[in-house]
Amino acid sequence: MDWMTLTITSIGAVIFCLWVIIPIREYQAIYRRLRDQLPERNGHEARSGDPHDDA
Amino acid sequence: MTTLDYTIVVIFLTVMAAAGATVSRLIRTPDDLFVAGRQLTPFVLAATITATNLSMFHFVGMGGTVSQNGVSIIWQNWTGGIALTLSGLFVLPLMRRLRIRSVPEYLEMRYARGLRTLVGAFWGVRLCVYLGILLYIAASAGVVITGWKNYTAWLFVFSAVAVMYSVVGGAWAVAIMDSVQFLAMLGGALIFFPIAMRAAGGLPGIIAYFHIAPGRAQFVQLLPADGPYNWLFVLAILLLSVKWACIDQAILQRAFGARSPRVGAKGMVLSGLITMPMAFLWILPGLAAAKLHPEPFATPDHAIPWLLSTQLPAVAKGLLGIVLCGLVAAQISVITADVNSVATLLTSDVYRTLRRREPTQRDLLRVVRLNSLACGVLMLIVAWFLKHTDAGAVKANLTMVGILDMPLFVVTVIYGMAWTRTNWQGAAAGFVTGGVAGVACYLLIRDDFFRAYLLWPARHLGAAGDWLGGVHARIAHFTPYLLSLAPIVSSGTALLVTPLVSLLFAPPRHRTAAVAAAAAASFSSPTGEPQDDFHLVPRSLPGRVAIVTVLASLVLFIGAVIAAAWAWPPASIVAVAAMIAIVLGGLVRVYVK
Repeated sequence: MDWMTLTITSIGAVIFCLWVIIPIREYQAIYRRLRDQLPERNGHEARSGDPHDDA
Repeated sequence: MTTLDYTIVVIFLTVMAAAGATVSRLIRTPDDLFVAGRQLTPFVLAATITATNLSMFHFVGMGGTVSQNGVSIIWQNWTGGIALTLSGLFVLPLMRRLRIRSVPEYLEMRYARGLRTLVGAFWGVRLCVYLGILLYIAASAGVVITGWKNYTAWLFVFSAVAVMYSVVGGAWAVAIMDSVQFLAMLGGALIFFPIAMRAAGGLPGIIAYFHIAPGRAQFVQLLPADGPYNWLFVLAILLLSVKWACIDQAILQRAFGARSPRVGAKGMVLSGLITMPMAFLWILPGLAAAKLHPEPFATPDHAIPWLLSTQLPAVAKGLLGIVLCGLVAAQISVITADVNSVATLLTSDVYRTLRRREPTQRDLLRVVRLNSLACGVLMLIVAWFLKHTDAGAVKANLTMVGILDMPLFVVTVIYGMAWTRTNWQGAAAGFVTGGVAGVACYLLIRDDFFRAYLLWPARHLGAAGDWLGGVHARIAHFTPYLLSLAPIVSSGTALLVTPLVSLLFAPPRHRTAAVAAAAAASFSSPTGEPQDDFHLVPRSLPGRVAIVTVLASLVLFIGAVIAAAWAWPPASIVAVAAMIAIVLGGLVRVYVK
């Protein structure tokens, strides 16, 4: 593999690895937050008909 | 394609469908469906914005354009990175602060409800046309790669899969699937890129070949002085990219899902940053195709599928299937995101605004799913018609964007945010006349369009008809530059008409208060959101230095591109350096106060 191709492929590989490692932790945090909020959100759905009523 | 390749693709699609069904259990409110509950974090957001942006349009359409016209089309991606940075710093935080779900919703806050309905309906149909272009590319690639020449069947396969994902899962499914699909398409590109380069003799060898090949030196010029993708094209595409990053519903809707304005800005800038080096992965294989297959293809969109189907099976069995998973992922992620956006526009901005009573959440979810299906049908019709033109996907998209999108950018961002005197009458007039001017540009300049649509009415208009014919004769030689001229004419018209009509009517009354407060970052964040500390003018010294760097580099970039008109040798290097400075400056800005 020539040096130009190697450089571009390596940069792509670094982006690939970063986007495997970091979002997994972010998704875990989002999932935990959503799971904790689920009963509250179900109640909100039953009460409100206004889609902008996020309170 | 072998049975192994087909098996790999089918397994991939099945796993993604199962994941989509799991995610759909999170759907409880319309905010979940439209903006992923506004819970997204910077890296997730960057992945979903990038996946929403990248599709077969890039891998197949742009790679094919490179095989015909050279690498300068890469500026469509690079100016996109610049635009994402600018929008992330100056526009997105304001819109996110208003807690809107769509750009037309912003138009209601700023102007009037009627303008929201008009633009929502227009933008919904406009996105369906873009989806049709994406579907056309996918089906064309399917035909070339597999050898199964039933174009219509491929249309149905791709649209059914994409609509199924978005109808079931909404924005949550789009966001989470996008992250997986982002990795799948990046992985596929990382496998394909070195193989394509090696097949064509290595990247230095490819560049050397085009330097000495007769009449092909322009293929490796980043900023050529002539040709359809010359310096003027780069300026026009910069304008279009800024427009895209500031008002494109599919991109902004993902960013509206950010946890806070600062997180939204981080996601946009990170997406711009990673798109820049990634662009080489789909641009340079186009050069390999041009070297290996010097004769032109039937349409440019056949070049990359040809390269895939001839080079990958020679390396290893099943490799084509793995790379195709990446391509299919890229396509599905964009189509699902856009179908979700169309459903949002038609439901939230058209259906809700036309009803007298507020619909229930159950009504809204039912309508959004029906709209997703309607969008699927409309994009099938567009893709079917596109088959009968030889324009190529990139040209078809640039034509549509140049004519129709710029006026919306002018009334939404330029006058909507910068001139409080603009009223809804001026905005509506600017939006409509700008679009008409863009269409007129094509009808008057292109000889085949003039003959098809204007010649007959011109013959019955007497002196006015003669005048039209005279205008056409004088400007017909601009045809090669239409892609650059149309957006300049349509935005110029909107820029002139909007203030003139606004001054004829009374100033807007209370409409601009919320928007002005959001721009000043004095908008009170609803309870439960992280503290909003992102200011348009940074509070810290590093933040201010970063903003000045971004703006100064933007001026330098524009200057270098204009200098390329006179074939100034360092123009390309200066433009690339300025582009990198813009994005890095933006990155520093979003991480400091």
